[in-house]
Amino acid sequence: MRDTEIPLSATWREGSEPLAVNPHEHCRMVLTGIPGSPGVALGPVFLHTRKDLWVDARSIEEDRVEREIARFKEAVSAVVAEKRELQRRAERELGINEGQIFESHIMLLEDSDATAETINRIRTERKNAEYCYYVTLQKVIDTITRLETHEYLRDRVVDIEDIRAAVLGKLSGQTANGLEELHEKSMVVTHVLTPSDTARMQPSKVIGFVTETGGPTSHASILARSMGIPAVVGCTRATASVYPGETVILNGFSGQVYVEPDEVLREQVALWREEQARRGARLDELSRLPSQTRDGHRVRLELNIELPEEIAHASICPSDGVGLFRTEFLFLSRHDWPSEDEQYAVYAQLAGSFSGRPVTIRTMDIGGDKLSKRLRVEPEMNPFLGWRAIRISLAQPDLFRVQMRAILRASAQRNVRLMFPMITSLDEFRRSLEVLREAEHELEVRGESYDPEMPVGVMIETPAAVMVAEALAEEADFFSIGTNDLVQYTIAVDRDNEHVAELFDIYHPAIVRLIHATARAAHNARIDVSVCGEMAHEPLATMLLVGLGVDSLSMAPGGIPEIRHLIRQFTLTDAKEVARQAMAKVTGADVRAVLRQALADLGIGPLSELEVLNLR
Amino acid sequence: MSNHPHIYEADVVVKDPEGIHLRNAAALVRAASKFPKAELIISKDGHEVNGKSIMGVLTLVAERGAHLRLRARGEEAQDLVKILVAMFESGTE
Repeated sequence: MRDTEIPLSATWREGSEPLAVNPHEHCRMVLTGIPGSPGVALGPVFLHTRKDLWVDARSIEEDRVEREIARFKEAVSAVVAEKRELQRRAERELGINEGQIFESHIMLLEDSDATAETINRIRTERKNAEYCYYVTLQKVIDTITRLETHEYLRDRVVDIEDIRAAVLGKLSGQTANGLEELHEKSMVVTHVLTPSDTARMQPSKVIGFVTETGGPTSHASILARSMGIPAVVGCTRATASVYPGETVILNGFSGQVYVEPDEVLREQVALWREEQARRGARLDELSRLPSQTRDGHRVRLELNIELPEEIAHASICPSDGVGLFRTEFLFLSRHDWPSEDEQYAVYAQLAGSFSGRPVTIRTMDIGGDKLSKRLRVEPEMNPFLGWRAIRISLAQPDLFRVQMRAILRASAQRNVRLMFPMITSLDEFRRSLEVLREAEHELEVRGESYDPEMPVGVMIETPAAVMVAEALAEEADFFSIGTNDLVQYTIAVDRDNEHVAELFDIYHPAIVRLIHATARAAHNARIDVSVCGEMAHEPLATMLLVGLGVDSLSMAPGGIPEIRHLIRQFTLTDAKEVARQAMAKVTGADVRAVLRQALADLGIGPLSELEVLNLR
Repeated sequence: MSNHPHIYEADVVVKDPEGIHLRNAAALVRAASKFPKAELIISKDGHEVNGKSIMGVLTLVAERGAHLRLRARGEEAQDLVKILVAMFESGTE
C-alpha cells in the first residue's frame, strides 16, 4: 500500500548529511534568524527603513540621468526650505538656541560631499535617486556606528536618518507607502511586516520576506507559507545590514540570509531548484491518490487562503476545499468599510472557483496583531486580550450584517460554510447567530437567494471555548481549531515576542488534551472538527491529530502533498495508539518523543530529503 | 591652488566631554566655510575627511581626548588653521 516509488528515509528532517559548502566563505555576510517559511529564493532587496520608508534599487535610462539628478536636488532644496521654516518658527517661539538643531540639519542636507557622491552614483551606477542617496548616507552611518564605542553615537546617527527620511519622503512623494511600489521581483526586508503592509502588496512581485521581529507563526511566516515563498523571521539587525538592491539568498530551511552570494552559492540555489522540479513531478502523481490511511479512513485536506489573489492558484491545487478563508484583507487594505457588493464579489469568486468543494469563510478577525487604524481600534495594553475579532463584529452589528449578507449571497452556490473567530462563550455564538438570522431576513425582504442550510461553525481558539465545547457542539455545525491562538492563550505566550517564542509549543500536553476534549465533544454531537492552525501541516503532528479524531486538516497549498503522503503510510489504529500514548505524557518533549518513535517504528520518512539547501 | 602651495598643519586634542557631536561639528564646519578659498583636511588615525563636510567630520567619531591633525592649503589657509586651533583649545569647537 505504500507509495514505494517515493524514496523513504529513516531520518526526519534533522540529521541530514553534513554538507559541502560553508556559506560564510561565499558571501559578504550571513544573517541568522528563525525559519519562517521553507524554500529558497534569490533576488534583490527591497528595504523598509526606519521612519516607514521603503527603498528599492531601480535602473534608470541614460537619457534620464540628468532629470534624476535634478529631481534629487529639488527634493533636497524642498526639505531645506521646510527646515528653514521650522528654524524660524522655533527661534521665534522658543528662542535662538532651539533653532540650532535645524541649522545643523540644513548643514547635513547641504553637505557638499554627500551631495556630490549621490550625484556621482546616479551618473555612474544609473540608479534612482532614492537608492543613491540612501546608500551614500548609509555609508556615513555605518562608519559612525561601526565603532560602537559609546551609547551616544547612536544619537548622532538619528539626525542623519532623520534628514534622509525627509529627502526620501520628498523623492517618492507623499503617497508612497511601500509594497505596492515594487518595480521588480524583490526580497522584502523589514523590521516588521503588518497585515496592512501586505494587504496592499502585489504578491507576484514578492519572492521572500526577511523580518527583524516575529517567529514561525507571525504574520510574515503565515503569509509566506500561504504564498509558497520562503521567509526568515526574528532576524535582528537585518535592515541595518543590507542595502537596497543588494542580492541576497534566503534560506527558509535554516533561517539564514546570505548577502551578496558568489557563484558557488548561486550554483547551490540552481541545484536546489532542479531538484524541486524533479520532485514536482512525483508530487503530481501523488496528488491523484486519495488522502486516506492504509485502512481506508479518509482525512480531508483543505486549504488556508489569506488573499484573493491566491484563489485562482489554490483552486487548481488538489485539495478537498477551503478550510479557512481569511477576510481581513478586505478590511485592512482600504480606508473605509468594504461594501456588501465588494465583499460579495470576492466570496462569490471563491465559491465559484471551488464549485462542488466546501469553502469555509471566517468573519473578520482583526485586532491584536492585526490592529487597524482604519477601524479606529485604539492601541491597547493587551491587544490579544482586548477588542478584537468577533468582539468588534458584535459591537458593530450593522457592519457585521454587511459581511453576513455578502457571505449569505455567495452561499447560494451551496458550498459555503461560515465560521466565527475567537468565540469564548455560548452567549457570543448565539448573539452571532442572531445577527446572521437578521441578515437572512434582510435578504429575504430584498428577494435575494441564499443557502438556508449553510453550515455555521465555531473557531476553537481559547481554553474557555474548549471547556464549554459540549454546549457549543449542540448548536454549531462544525468546529475548527485554530492552534496558533489556542497555544498562545493556553500557554500565555506571545508568539511574536522572540524572547518567549520558544515557549510556544504545539506539543505541550495541555494542547494535546485540549484538542482531544474538543474532538470528543464534536463527535459526541456528531459534528466534524478540523484543525486550521500551523499544527495542521506539521508532519510530526499528523498521526497525533488523526488519532485524536480530527476529521480535516487545513493548510497552505504547499503543505498538502507531504501530509497526504504521510497519511497514506499509517492506519487509523496506529494513529489512535500514538494519540493514546501522547495523551499519557506530561511534557512536550515526551510527546514529541512518542511521535518521533512512532514514525521511526513504522518506517515513515519525509517525502524528499532534498528539500533543504545543500549547505552546512 | 598653485599660488599657495604651502600647507599649514596643526595637531589638536578634542576637549569637549562628549567628543565631536552634531552641534560642535556644525560650528567647526561653519567656521571653516568662512574661508571658501582654502581646503581643509582633518584626519584621525589615518582616516582623512573633508573638514568642510559635516558628515565627513562626524565620521571621524572623535571622542574626548582624540588627537586630530588639521591640514589646510590655499588662500587664507594659515588663518583658517589658526581659528580652528583656537576653537579646539577653548574647548568650544
